Amino acid sequence: MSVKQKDGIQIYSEMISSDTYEVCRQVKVILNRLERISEIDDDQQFDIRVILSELLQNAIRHGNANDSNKKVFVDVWLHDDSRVLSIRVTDQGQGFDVKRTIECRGKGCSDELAMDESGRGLLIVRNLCDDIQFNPVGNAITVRMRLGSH
Amino acid sequence: MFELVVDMDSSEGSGKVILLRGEIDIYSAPDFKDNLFQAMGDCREDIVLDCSELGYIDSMGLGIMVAALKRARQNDRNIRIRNPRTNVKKLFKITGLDKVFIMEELK
Repeated sequence: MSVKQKDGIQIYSEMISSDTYEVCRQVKVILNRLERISEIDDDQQFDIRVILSELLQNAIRHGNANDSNKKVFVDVWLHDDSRVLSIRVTDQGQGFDVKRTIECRGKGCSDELAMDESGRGLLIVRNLCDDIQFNPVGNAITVRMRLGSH
Repeated sequence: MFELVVDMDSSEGSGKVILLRGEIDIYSAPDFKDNLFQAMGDCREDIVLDCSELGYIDSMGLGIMVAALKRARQNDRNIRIRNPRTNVKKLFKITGLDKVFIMEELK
């Protein structure tokens, strides 16, 4: 189930199809594995679930453009004696300027933006995690969050 | 698992109360949207979304609530978010939606 290496324990590494049911199922698989290895409270479990769901939604909808033939790669690691969680989500899309998207959202909520029906996912992720990194192409996101005390 | 319950007995005179129970994730979100819009009907009164039993929601569910709010406002009505749990309320705050919706805490 988990692979121990020098830089931590890999608790999950899978290729997921671009399907909402499968995404929800795999998110729960990851949470179950985390629960068994690391002590996370309900609040943190909620946050991790949101982060995973948002990253996977973005990968499927914006990255893979809802193409059912494309996959999403998910890797989850625990570092630093299971005190730090890292999640990497990679899609098979062309990539986009994720950073700019986040910065636009982070600058405030104008009335127009406030009434958008989408586009809040990365804003939520950025606020729930401790660090967020993108690859240059923009089709892979890695987030880190400290587990335990908030 | 998600369930939407319209409280037919809760005639408060200030809106139709819709209880959201369970989890709204990307899989259940389309059902949530269909059921919510159906429950809202023709928006002749304000809508109260009772979130006291809502255990999970993410940006997709929040987006549907915004769509519902737009629809309500087109009819000069509003939507109130009642008693969201701490985690759910946190997402409203992060996204600024706590300023867009009327948030209320009732005992």
